[in-house]
Order: sequence, then structure tokens, then C-alpha cells
Amino acid sequence: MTKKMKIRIAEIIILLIALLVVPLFVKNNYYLLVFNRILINAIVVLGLNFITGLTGQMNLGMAGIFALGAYASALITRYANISPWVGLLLAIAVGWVIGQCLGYPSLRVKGVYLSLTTIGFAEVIRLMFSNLTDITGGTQGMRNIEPYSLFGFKFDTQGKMYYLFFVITAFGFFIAWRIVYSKWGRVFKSLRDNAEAVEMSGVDIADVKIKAFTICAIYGAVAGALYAHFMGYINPSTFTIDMSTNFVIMLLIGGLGSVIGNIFGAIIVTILPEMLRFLDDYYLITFSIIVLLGAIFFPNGWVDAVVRLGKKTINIISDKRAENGKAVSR
Amino acid sequence: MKKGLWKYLSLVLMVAMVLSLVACSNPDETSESESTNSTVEEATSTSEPVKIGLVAMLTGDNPLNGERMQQAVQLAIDEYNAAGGILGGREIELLVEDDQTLQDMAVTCVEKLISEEVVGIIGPHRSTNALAVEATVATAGVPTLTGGTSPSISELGNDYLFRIRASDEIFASVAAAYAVDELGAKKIGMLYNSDDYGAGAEKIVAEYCKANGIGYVSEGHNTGDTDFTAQITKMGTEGVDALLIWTHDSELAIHARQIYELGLEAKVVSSPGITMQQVIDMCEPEYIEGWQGVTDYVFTSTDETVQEFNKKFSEKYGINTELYSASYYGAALVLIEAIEAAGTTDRTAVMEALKKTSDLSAPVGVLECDDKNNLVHSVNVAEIINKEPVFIKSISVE
Amino acid sequence: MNAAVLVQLLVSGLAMGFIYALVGIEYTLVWNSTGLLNFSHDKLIMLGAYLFGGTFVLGMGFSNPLAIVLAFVIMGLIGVLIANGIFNPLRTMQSMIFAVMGTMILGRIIKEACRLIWGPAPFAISGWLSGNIRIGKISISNANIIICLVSLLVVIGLQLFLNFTKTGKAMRCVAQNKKAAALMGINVTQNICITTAVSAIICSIIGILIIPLFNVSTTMSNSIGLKGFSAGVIGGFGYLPGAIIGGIIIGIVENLAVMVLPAVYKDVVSFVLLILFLLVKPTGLLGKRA
Repeated sequence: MTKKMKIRIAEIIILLIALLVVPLFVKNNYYLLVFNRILINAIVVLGLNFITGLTGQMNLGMAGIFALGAYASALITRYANISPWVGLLLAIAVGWVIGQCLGYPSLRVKGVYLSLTTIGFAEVIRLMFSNLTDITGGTQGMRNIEPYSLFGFKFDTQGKMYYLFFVITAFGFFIAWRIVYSKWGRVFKSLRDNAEAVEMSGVDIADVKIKAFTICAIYGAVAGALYAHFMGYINPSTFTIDMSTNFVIMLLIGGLGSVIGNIFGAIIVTILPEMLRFLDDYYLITFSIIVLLGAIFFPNGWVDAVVRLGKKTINIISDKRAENGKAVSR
Repeated sequence: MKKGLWKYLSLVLMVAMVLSLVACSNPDETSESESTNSTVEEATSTSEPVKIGLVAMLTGDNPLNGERMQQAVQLAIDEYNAAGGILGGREIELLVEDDQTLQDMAVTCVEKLISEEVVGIIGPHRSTNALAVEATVATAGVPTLTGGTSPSISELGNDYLFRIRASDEIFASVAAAYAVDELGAKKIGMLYNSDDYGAGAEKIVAEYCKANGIGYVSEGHNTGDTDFTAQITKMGTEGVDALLIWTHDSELAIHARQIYELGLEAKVVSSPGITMQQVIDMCEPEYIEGWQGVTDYVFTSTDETVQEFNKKFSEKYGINTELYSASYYGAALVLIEAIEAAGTTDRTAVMEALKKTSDLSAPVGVLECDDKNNLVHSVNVAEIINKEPVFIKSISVE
Repeated sequence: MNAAVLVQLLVSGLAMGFIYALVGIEYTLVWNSTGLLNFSHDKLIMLGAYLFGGTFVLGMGFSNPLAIVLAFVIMGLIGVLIANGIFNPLRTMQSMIFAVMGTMILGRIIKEACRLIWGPAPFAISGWLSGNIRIGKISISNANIIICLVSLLVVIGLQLFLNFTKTGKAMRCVAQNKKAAALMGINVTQNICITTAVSAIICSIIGILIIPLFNVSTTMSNSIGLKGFSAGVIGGFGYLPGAIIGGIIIGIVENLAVMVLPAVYKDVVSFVLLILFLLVKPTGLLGKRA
């Protein structure tokens, strides 16, 4: 283990501890609610990173996957009258199935075709949930979705849910981290950079694409299931293209392919509009303009921009040091 | 080099902006975290304003309705403040949040207002949003007045959620009864929006027709659809003699044009939208001549309260009143009166005072709270004559 | 279900189909020259309608032809802005996601700007292209007839422009191979500017023509935006006359679907059609390239 990695791991642990004690100091439900929304969004973005960030396939149908996860979990909890945890397992299964199904078109169509396919998919899902009134309650939505509970301990307040979601998001983060820096992750990335070369080196592209899509869909569906039990009420009108777009914006602001960036993207896009609320009528347009300028000037994400700015200053300093003590260092 | 400089300049600006925002929002974070969330324990000093929250859809797909809500509530509050405030001279302060007509944003707005220690919340408007925030306001114990008309809201048994518009049950059954009794319909056709609003009404009309042995056909559409030829033509082939249309503003205006152009001969009874100026303005006069609308409120009513309200509102904002402004003006009135009656800003006391509301005259009629927290029990029927909604009658329902 | 009803459904489907076709044409142009999709196109349609109706006709009281010309000019300039602000800087990035998301965010900005500038109230322009024609039991709006004519004119005009002018020929070169075009001395950046401007002008044509049908509001073009994409895909991606065929197919199929399915599934039908085409025949009915 290099020194650099040790420092990085220490940083992450400090960050984790800091985040874990948040509810002890923040008793305000509004802030906790926003934190919870960030955690759920972060899970989606971590998943989206595999398909859109790493393999470079543009998925604009995340809201559809999210909705399927939410409804799968809510419906089985309601009708089979069982624990939401089973719903979470079902959501994982649903995610796997969606991944296999959506992965297939990504073999045939790519780029802009794929984004249209995924948009169409998400719209079909939304319209089906709206109009299959007998099963889903249609546009009246589903109410009284049970919160998670563990050995009789109910996660029914924002503070309690924060811990639960935090643990799940942290778990999702580490899995994503491990995958991105594994052999799979490198194959995913190489697919984006040069698909032909990857195929030449004997990698089964079809298999890789479907893998990426499946991981993405499982993350999306799990986040959807969490959302259903977090809100306690779901309605198909939530799961629009706007929602899918928001997830991609989070990914973009965090920086494509960067796992830590994903988390920061989710944080920035969820919190920034809330902070801008003091601008009244102009808050949404201001938010959009900031995001657009960010996308144009820092296409590698804000995190990367900050890091590079930091590196530049460090470089300047270390250059000076190096000049002073060239002979000593080597 | 120049390009790089630009990059970092805007980056620094952005970071500075975000940081200053964090700094801005920090002070109240600490102060709020100390106070409890369940009840507001304020000092009874006369200087501190009484805070009321409003959750309105100021952006998103229905920004106009949100603007009218805000204008009306502000008007009511300004009047009370001009008359010396409430609770012995305390000013009323309005905190407005935008929910973009989205459920998770509505919950966020409500939590934000609760953390800012409002005594009561007005809105969110849509039934779906009201259902989404229902559990939150019950847990926090904040009296909330919504304009959501879905029948499921009164089935919640939520003490803190009050409704300041009549239920869709009333609207739709009055519309169906009016079509049958007054217009002599033998077969009713219903065109409805597949969302919560339209689908809820469709269920009620279907039951009414079944119970009364009236012929019935229905066809739905989705919000944002722009062509209803198929649905309207089907109504024509089914030979309906009265048409009930239950949908939102833009869809309603397109329905009006297409029904006229396709020459469907049927008497039309519509959802409240048609009595609103903004919908009428989107139609040529011949499209909607003779249409009937079931609505909360008609500004041409001869009722004194209505005339006075319309005069005040149009003097301030230069437009005639419609159901959003009238309903939410009423909401502000009833909430402020309840705070005054409770004599305190304690949320539970205000909730109990709201439950005792009776005989309060508002533009939408006499407000009286029943055991299901419904405040409005009458609807009006209006006919569109020469692009103006003409008041026909008011129907009270028990 | 009698014959008159069937004909009426066909006619209305055809009328809607031509609107989708125009949308298809407008974004195919951008696709051809940049290889990118302009996801803000539905908002540009709305902006065109607001500029024409809100500012020039109702606001300044100009005559309709003058208002149309002014709307074209401003929309053309906006097109150039989009090209220089989003497409040109972002098209060379490693993934197209940057430019596509740029246009999506731009769409949100335009929507909010319209609400702030012209206010949240939807409005109509009384007398503009209103009225309808009845033949027997069949009815069609005047606006629909004009839309059919205009979309044919636009396609013919564009074909002439692309085949017989120097700029047009350059546009076709860029569409086929950007690198080769650049090597041959064609200014690709400038070319993208012109194409985006033309596309924005077509957006404003659509916006102005659909005012009598959908009125002017911030949501007026939501559904036609997506269905325009379907039209382009079904007809043949990147091939202009294909957009017309695709638009007409979608318009008619979704209207006839109502005969077998509940009307609420109308949109589902057109999206399923889109997905099927993408999976089975991504080149569309008339398209050549994969």
C-alpha cells in the first residue's frame, strides 16, 4: 500500500465518521430530509456512473428504473404483507432483470439511439404505472408504505432513516469503488475509449455492456425501493424525464467515472437549489445557469476542477521547494 | 493561458458563492437545532411576527395557479396587518416556498417551513402533493390547509390536514346530477384526465350513472396530450347528449376547440377550470358559448362577500378573481381567524380552533368545519355567456 | 365505428403527423451537422411562439408578417448562440453526454426565462390561423392544413438549399464526414452555426404555427418534442424526407390505436413503436446509414 493510498483511506474514514455523527448535531428535520434525499440520489448516481460515466453509454431512463424499484418494493410489501427488506431484495432482482433487458438494446444501438430508447422505456413505465389503476392505484398513488424496521426498531423518523440510508449508501459506495478499480472497471473504461480495440483483445463486449447495465439498474432499483419507504407515498407523476435528467446532471457535475465525484454531484445538485431558495422567483433559473456554466467550463466535473486547482498551487509550492533543495532530494 | 484564467476565475466565483450560501444558512441551523419540532414555544412578546407558510407551485408546469395563490394569501395578510395585526398587535409574516408541483419537493418545502416555526401551512395545492405531505404534517402537528380535492384526503383521518375546497365527490356528483336533472341528459359521456384529479371524478360519475340508470361512456387522456380527436369522435359515435369534461387548464382549452371543430352536439358540463379567465381567454367565444361549469367560485356572483373580494383583488393586481385566489384567500382568512380564536401560536391549539370554525363568510361561501376537516360545502354552477362566467346557482351539499 | 369516424381519425392523425414531421426535420438538421441531439428543441419551439405572440403581436402590436420575420431573426441569432456556446465547445469532448446535457439544461433555462419574462399566464392570439374546414362529417383545422403545406415547403426548400447552394453543399459534406470536410477547407465551426440557426428558425416556424392549436404556455410543446424524435427515428435517422414519413406514421398509428386500446395508452403506443424500431431497424424505414 502506497503512502498516497493510506492518506486517501484515512480521509475517507474521517469523512465517514463526520457524516455518521451528523444527526447528533442536526436536529432539524428539513436538513435531515435533504440529507436523506442526497443519500438516495447518490446511490442512483453511483449506479449511473457505470453505464454513462465509465462505458460512455448515455442512459436517460434512470427514472424508469427508479420507479420500477419503488413500485416493486411497495407492491410486494403491500400485497404480500411482508417486510420491506424483502421488497429491497425484490428490487435487486428487478434491477437485475431490467439490466439484462436494457443491456440487450445497448448491444444493438448506441450513443444517441440508446438515450432515445431509454427515454422511451422510462416514459412507457411511467404511463403504465399511471394507468394500471387496479394494481398500482394509478395516479392516486400508493399511500402508507411501511418504513423499514429491524428487530422491532422502526426507521420512521428522518434521523433514524438517515443512519439506515447512510449505511446502505456507504456499502454501495464501497462496492462501486471496488468495481471501478477492479478489472471490470478498467474494461468498462476501455469500452468508452476504444471499443474496437477492446474487442480485438478478446473481451466479450456484449457481456461487458450487459454487466455494466445490470449494475446500474440494480443501484437504481435499490434507490427506488429506499425512496418508496422513505416517502411513504409514491405517485407515478414523480418519475419523469426531468428526474432522469437530474441524475445525469449530478453525474456530470461530479465528473464522469469518479466515484467520489458521484457523491459530490448528488450533494451539489440536491443542496444547491435549496440554498438558492432565498432568490425566490429566480432560484431555479440561477441554479440551471450555474449548472450550464459548470458543464461548459469544467466538463470534467467540479470536483476535478477543485482538485486541479489545488494541485496547481501545490505544484507551484513544491516546484519552489524542489529548486531550493534539488541536491538533497536525490 | 487566457482561457485557463477564465476557467479558474469562474470556478473561484462559484465556490465563493456556494460557501457564502453555506455561511448564510448556518446561523439558523444552529438556532433551529436547539428548538423542538413538535410545538412552537415562543415568547409571547408582541414584537415577534406570527409566521404562516405557503407551499405553492410557482415554477413547474402550473406556475400561474401558484402565483394566484400567493397573491391572494398576501392580500389577506396585508389586510390583517393594516388593521393592526393579530394576537394583540403582532404582525403576520408570510413565508413562501415553491414545490414545482412535485411530491418530494412538497415534502421538502413543508419540512423547511416547519423548521422555520410557522404556525400553520397553506397548500400544497394538488391532492397528490397533499397526500405526500400528510404524514409529515401529522407527525409535526402543524395545521395545514390544502386545496386538494381528492376524496381520499378526507378518508385519511388526519386531524391536522384541513381542506379549503369542496371534495371532488361533491363537484362530480353535482355535475352529473345537474346534467341529468337540469339538462335532461339520457346518456352521459365523460372525458377525463387520467391523473388523480380526473380519474377520481370519473369514478364518482360512473357510480352516479349506474345508480340512476343513466347511459355512460368515458375516455381518458394524459396530462400534456394535445390531440383529443379520437376521444371526442368516440363520444359522437356513442351518441351522448351531455358531456362531462374533467381536466386541467391547457387540456380544457384544447378540448373546447376540438369539440367545436368536430361539431359534437352535446351539452357540456366542465370541471371548474372553464370558469377561469385564463382558460376562457384561450378559447374563441363560439367554442365555449353555453358551456356550464361546476366551480368553487364565480366572480360574477351577486353575493356581497364575493363582490367585495373581487373589488379588492382587482384593485391590487388588476385582474379578476378566480377559484385559486378565492379559495386561498379563504384559507388565509380561516387560518388567521383560528390563530386569533386560539389566542396563541401553539399549533395544536390552532388546530383545535380550526376544527371549531363555523359560519365564517369567505368568497367561496360560508366556511364550516365538519368532522372530516372539510371547510367548504357548497359549489356553484356557472354558464359561459359571451366569454364571461355567469353565476347560475349555488348548490349546498351536506 | 363507421367509415366517417375512421376517415376523421386518419385526417387528424395526418395533421398531428405533419407537426411531428416538422420537429423531426428540425432536429435532423442539427444531428446531421453536429452528430448531436438538441434536447432543448421543444423549448425553442415554445420560445418562438412566445417571441412571436407575446412580444411582437400582443406586446408591440406589429402586423403578423413583420412579427414572423422578427421572430425568425431573433431565433436565428439564438441558434448561433447555442452553436457557439454549447455545440462547438462541447462536441469534441470524449462523450456526447456533455453537449446533450448542455442542451437539456439550456431547455430548463429557456422555460424559466419564458415564465419570468412573459409571466405564468398562458394566452392565445385571437384570430391567428383560427377556424376549420368541414367536408361532410370530416373536420380539419385551418392551422393543420397550413402546417402540412409549410412542412412540405420546408422540406423542398431545404433539399434545394442543400443540393444547389455552396453553403448547403458544405453542410452535406460536414454531415458525411467532419474530418474530411475540414481538410477540404470547409469551416466546420461556422457550418454548425448556420445549421443550428436554420434549425432554430424552423423551431420558431413550428411554434408560430401551433399557437392556434395548443395556445402559448410553458408546457405547449412538451409532448411534440419527444414524438418528433420518434418521427425522425422511424422515418430514417438523418434523412430529411424520412422525418415526414415517420411523423405521419406516428400520428396515424397513435390515433388508430385508440380503436383497440383505451385512449390513455396513446403515448405508450408511439414510444413502444420507437423502441421497436430502434431495436429491429435502427436505420428507420428510409434511412441508409447505421
